[in-house]
Amino acid sequence: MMDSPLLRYVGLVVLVILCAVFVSPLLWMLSTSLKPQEEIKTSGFAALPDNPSRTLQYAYENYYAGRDKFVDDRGIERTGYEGVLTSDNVHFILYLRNTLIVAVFSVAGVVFASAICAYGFAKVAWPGRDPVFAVVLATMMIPFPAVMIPTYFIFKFLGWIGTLAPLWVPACFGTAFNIFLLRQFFMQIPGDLSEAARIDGLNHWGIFWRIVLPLSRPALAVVALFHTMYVWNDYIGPLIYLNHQDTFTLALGLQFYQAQHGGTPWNLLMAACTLITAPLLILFVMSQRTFIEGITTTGMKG
Amino acid sequence: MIKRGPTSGHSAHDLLTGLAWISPWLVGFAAFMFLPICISAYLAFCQFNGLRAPVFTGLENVRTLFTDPTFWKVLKNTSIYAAFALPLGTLLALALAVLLNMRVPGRTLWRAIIFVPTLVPLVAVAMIWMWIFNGRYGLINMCLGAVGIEGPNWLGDANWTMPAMILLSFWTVGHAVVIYLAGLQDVPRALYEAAHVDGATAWQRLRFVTVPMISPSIFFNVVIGIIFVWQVFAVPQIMIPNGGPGRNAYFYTMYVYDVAFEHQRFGYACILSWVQLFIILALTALAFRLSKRLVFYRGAVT
Amino acid sequence: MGEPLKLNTILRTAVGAGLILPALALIAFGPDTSREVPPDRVVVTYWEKWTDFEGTAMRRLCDVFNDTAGAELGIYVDYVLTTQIDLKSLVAACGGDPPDLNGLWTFNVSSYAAKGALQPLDERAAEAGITPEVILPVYYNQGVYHDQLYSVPLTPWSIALYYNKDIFAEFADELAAAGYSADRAPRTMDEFADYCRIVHRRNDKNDIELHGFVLGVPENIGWYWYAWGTWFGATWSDPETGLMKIDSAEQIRAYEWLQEFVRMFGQRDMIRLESSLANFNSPDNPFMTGRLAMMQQGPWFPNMIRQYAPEINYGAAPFPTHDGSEISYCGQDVLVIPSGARHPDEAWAFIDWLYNSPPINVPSGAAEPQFGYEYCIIETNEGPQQRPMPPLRPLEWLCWNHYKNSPYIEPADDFTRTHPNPVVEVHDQLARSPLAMTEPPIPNWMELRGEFEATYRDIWAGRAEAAPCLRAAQKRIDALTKLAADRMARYGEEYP
Repeated sequence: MMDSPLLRYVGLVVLVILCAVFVSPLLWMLSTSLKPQEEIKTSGFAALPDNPSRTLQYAYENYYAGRDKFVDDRGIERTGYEGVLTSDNVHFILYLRNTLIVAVFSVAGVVFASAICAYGFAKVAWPGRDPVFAVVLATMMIPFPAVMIPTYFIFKFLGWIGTLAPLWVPACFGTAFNIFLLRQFFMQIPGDLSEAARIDGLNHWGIFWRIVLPLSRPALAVVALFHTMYVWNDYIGPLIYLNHQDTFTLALGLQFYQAQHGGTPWNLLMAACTLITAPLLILFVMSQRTFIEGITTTGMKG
Repeated sequence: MIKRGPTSGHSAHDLLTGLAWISPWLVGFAAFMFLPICISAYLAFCQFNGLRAPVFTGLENVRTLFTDPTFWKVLKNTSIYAAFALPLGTLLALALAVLLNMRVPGRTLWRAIIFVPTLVPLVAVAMIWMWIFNGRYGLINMCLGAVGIEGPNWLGDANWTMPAMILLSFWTVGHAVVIYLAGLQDVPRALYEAAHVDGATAWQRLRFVTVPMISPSIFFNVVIGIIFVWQVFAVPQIMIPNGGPGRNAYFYTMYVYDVAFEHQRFGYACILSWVQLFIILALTALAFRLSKRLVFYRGAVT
Repeated sequence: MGEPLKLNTILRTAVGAGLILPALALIAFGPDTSREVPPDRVVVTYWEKWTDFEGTAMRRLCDVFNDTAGAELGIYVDYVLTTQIDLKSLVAACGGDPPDLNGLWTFNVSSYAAKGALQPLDERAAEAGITPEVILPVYYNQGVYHDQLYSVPLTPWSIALYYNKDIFAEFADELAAAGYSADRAPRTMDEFADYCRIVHRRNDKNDIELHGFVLGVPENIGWYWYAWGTWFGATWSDPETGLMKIDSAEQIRAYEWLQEFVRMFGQRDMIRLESSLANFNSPDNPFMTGRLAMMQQGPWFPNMIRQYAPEINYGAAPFPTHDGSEISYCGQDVLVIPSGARHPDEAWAFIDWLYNSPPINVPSGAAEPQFGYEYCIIETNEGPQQRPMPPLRPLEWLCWNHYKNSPYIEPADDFTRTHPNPVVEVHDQLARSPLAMTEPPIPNWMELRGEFEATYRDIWAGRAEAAPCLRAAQKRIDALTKLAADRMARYGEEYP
């Protein structure tokens, strides 16, 4: 683009301001999680505790060890609080394990099943393929609330309410979005390749397994990544299907932590938020390109 | 792709092969989409509390719909939310994409900062913003206080819950920004050069070159946006259960959830979710109609 | 591709492995429950809402049961903390996944029972001696719906007026000038308004520095916000039909009074003061910081005062009423056995133990002293004294530790004598008042209360005038009532 230097300059300033606004909630979350409880309401804009050299100690207390008695801002001795990871009432390690179980099963399921279906739509010629694919696309528009209630009773019939199964089993049949995404990718694999393989005596399964899948690793990574994000994020599913603390996922566990009688202090709540956000940020930093490419391919081909 | 003659023997065999390949989706569709929709269609005309057998009540639920003030309230709220969050969010996303597309230093970093909020789990988003919107110690009101404005008690004031929710929705436009950015990078430089030669101003270039060229992306995002914005649930449900003061931020899916799982009126909740489905489908159809006039597709549409 | 190893690649692999390996290890070896449950015992899953000191006490009681009677009977009670328990329990019941024992609020009982989500307990209760002859009628009757008993009392309470004696003393002269004594709390609503006018101070910027009383939104002042009408002699239902009614003359008067009261001090100022409450169970509660003289609270409040502001010199009295009569609002936490519970007999064995076990001497050393397990502090003539906690029946042991009054008509002598709550007599006396009020047994009470609550918020915030607002809400309630009655009629049942 041929923008004048002045325009670029103004643009940069605006961009930096907007970025500051965008990043400030996260910084504030982190900053709050590093402060002791008695400073939360008095510290204002301060990024670190009043006594910055104790930041690590406070962080250790909030995130892990908790705190014995302390003196609050009015000089009254108060009973201490539990650290996020060692709390008696919430068990984030347990919730993390549940989330990981759901993530591993459903990601494995969704990648495999979606790839098979996508192959069926991309590389196998059969009558009625395109109309059926149109149905697949159409189901993407059906919002979860529309099927939420009957699905609940189907799972009740199966005896799965209160277990993790409703959160991962449906994914093992592939999801419309991922089938669509993989189909787009498979279509780009040249037909000559599979034709050559066929002459070499490979059947469809052979082509799928030996040629298409290995060539589609980036696309499969996108599916896995997005689905992990989805599992990590899902709130309404666990909210409906899970009743027992021992089965909670992280999202529900965090809400459970917040909803405790009397509310949870902000420093601890923000520490918990930081804990459940951090893995996704690390994942993003590691696979930034996969993320961006995944979003743009799905975004452009609509 | 392999083309075969349309002989019936082959065709039946092909059909079976194709169906076999997409069988995971077929099973999943039947069990978790088609069956639920059928059940929901039946339950919508029943009274059902989940514990006793459903009783068929004919059009009773439909009649209730017309006399239920809360239904109209959530319909209105969700429409207002959609009417502001979607267009303003699109504008903001476009502006950010244009800014990020300029040749400014640190583009990757800025892009990452804009994108990162979309990674934060919704439950954490809700909690971070509860803290930011806190009437006394929240970041926003502290900033307003610093310039001498006394900020409202965002989540406790009937006039401010909806603006708070709309404001919050802008934080997660990063997804759209990435898609628009990819679209912008695909716009041929020659077009800008030609515009420059013709003496077009920066605004004219934006209006007559950039926007038309990325209108397919915009269209795609608007359709996705309609589907999502009408389903908004987790964040308001956690931040202001039951819609807060005056129920001014009571959204459609929250009401469906409450009717179903808080009041155990599953039949009525089903008809509510059908209405929601029809609204989303109607709006999407409308978007498609408008797109024929407004969206510019480069070359042949594939 | 094909290049020699790059630092970037090594780094990424390392971080990736650092994420994935612990994740897999966690899945393989991680905990699959938060508690250890002994094998070969019948596990009674017990959902309860309490966190904090109340939860600690109940967990402790479950431990005692599991170590003693439970071990003999082969039963293990598994305490599971559940927030939003009233919501979660019904969802679980609909999903066919209910607990064996459920700790609800009393006002949930009719809604649950009407939906068929609870098991009737009449026979078991009669056998265990849990009868109206033993239990205070106000608490026993709350478990009755359509002539069947569905819940048994666990910890009862009543709502009283808590006041800061030192603040009253500070305004003694002004109070005396108006004909009141700083030594006693107001008895009628007129007196109450006078007290609030007198006990009021603003700073130079005209901000409220000290104030008499403030009501507010449920999150801050407590779930029993709707008790307000009771002080004006109102009920929540039409005594003749039993249908919910919130636009009675008394209710309208109560909320008009409230609006007038709020406007007297300025709507904006009151809302600001109230928002600083930030939940009554918090050190920021202006009562704790000495900025608020009076609150409408239950017997748990002294325990919070002890934690957040031990220096406050407080008293409790019946809440003022329109005519000075001793009206009270009572509620309780109850135990129910959901229909579909897998081990109802074992669940009942625990309830039976709570009521009928000989007094227990809780082993010392295991619990935190601040919760009063090992000793209690008693106000005596020589000031506060530390005393050992006496043996009590489990149920009363729990009430004692919760600072609450006893559900028994005749509490144990030790219970009253050593009770850690210095004002427990006030709550006990209120529970025995002939004018003790409780929620009516309305099958969709929770749904209707939601409408009432939305209205209340509007009234409190001054968004609408009380009378038309209540009448409009009554219309919505009537419509919902009719729907609910129709629904029940289809099952051949009568509403309410």
